[in-house]
Amino acid sequence: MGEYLVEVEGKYNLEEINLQIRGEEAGASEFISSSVCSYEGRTTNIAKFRELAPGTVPKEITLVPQGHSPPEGAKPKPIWTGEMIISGTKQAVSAYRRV
Amino acid sequence: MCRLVLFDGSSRRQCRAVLLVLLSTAVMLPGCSFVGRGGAPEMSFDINKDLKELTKHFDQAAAISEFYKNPTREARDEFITARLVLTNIRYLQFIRDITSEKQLIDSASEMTVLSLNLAGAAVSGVDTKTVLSTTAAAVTGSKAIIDKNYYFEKTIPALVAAMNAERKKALVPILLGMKKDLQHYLFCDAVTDLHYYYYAGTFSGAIQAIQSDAGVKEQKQDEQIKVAKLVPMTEGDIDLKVSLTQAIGKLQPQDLDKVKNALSLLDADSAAPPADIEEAKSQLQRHVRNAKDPERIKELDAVFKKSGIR
Repeated sequence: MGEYLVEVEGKYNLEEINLQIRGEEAGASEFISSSVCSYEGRTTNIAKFRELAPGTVPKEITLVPQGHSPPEGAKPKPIWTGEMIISGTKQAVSAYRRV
Repeated sequence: MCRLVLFDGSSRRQCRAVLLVLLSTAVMLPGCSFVGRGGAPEMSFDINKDLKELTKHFDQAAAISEFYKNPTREARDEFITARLVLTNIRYLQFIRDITSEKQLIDSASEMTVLSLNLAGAAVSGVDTKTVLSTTAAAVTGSKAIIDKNYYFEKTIPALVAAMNAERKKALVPILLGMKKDLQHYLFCDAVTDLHYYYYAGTFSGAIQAIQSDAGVKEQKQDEQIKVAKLVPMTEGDIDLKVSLTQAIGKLQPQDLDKVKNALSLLDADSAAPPADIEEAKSQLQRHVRNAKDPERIKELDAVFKKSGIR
C-alpha cells in the first residue's frame, strides 16, 4: 500500500489535531509520522500516512505531550514521538495506539 | 615547416611563438605573481599582449560585418568557430584564475580543444588547420601543469562546475546548427546562441542556472508532496467515515453491481468500471479516503445508501 502526505495546520490545539488524524485514519489509512516543514511559504506540520486495505480502520490513535502517561487502554510504547506545531508553538508529542 | 596564416610575414619563429603563447594561455597563468604561488616557472613574455595578437587573427572572422560581406554557410561557420575559440580561451583563463580543481579545468580545456578543432575544420587553409590542430594538442598536453597548492573558496568549484555544465548545454544548438544550411540555421540565430554560450560561462549565468535548477527541484518536491490539508472534524464526522469504510469491508462479490452504481454516481467520467469486487472496493475506498471534510463524507453516505451499500 502506498504512503502519502497531508498537512495538519499548526494553528489547531492538540484535541483538534487528534480528531483530524483520527478522521484521516477513518478512511482506511494509518498515521506513520509527522514533521515540521516549510511548505508553500509557511511552517507547518506535514504528516505521513500509509494506505490500508479497503475496509480496514486501525485502532484509535491519540497524541499526547511527550512525557505524559499513555492514554487509558493504549499500548505502553508510543508508535511515534516527534515535534509538531500545536496551537502555534512547537511541541514534542507522542502518539499511542489503543490495544 | 609550417606556413603561418596567423601573422604577416610567415616564419618559423612566429609559428613557434604562437604555439608557445597558446600553450601558456591554455595553462592560464595570469601573471608572474601567480607563478610564485604555484609549481610553474616564470614566463618570459607577456601573455596579455600575446592574447591580443591571437584575438587580432580571429577578430576579423568573429566580426558580424565580415559575414555580411559574403553571407554564405561557410562564412557563418567561420564566424561561429572564431567566436567559440575566443570565448573558450578567455573562459579558460577566467576559471584558471579562480580554481585549481583539475577536473573543472580539464572540462574547460576540452571545450577549448573542441573549438580549436572546429576552427581547423571550418577554415579552408591546410596550414592553418595544421597550426590549429597542433595547438589543440598543445592545450591537451598543458593540462598537466596544475598548481595543487592553490587555495580556493569552496563555492568556486561549484560555480565553475555549473558554468562548465551550462556551456556544454549551450553549445549543443550551435553544433547542431552548423550542420544545417543557412536557411535552417540563420546567422542571427547563431549570434544569439553564441551570446548564450558566453553568458553560460559567467558567474551570473552559473548562479541563475543553480537557482533555476533549485527552483525546479523545489517545484518537483512540492508536486511530489501533493498534500491535502486536513480540516476540523467532529466525533460524529469520524464515526460516519468509519461506518463507510466498514461497509466497504463487508462487500461481497455479489455486491459488485451496487459498487459499480455507486462509482458511477461518484465519478461519471471514470475510466473502465472495476473488473471484480476487490478492484471495486479499492476504488470506493479511495473516494472515502479522499473525503477530507464533513460535507464530502455526507455526500458519500448518501451515495452509499442510494446504491444499497449501507
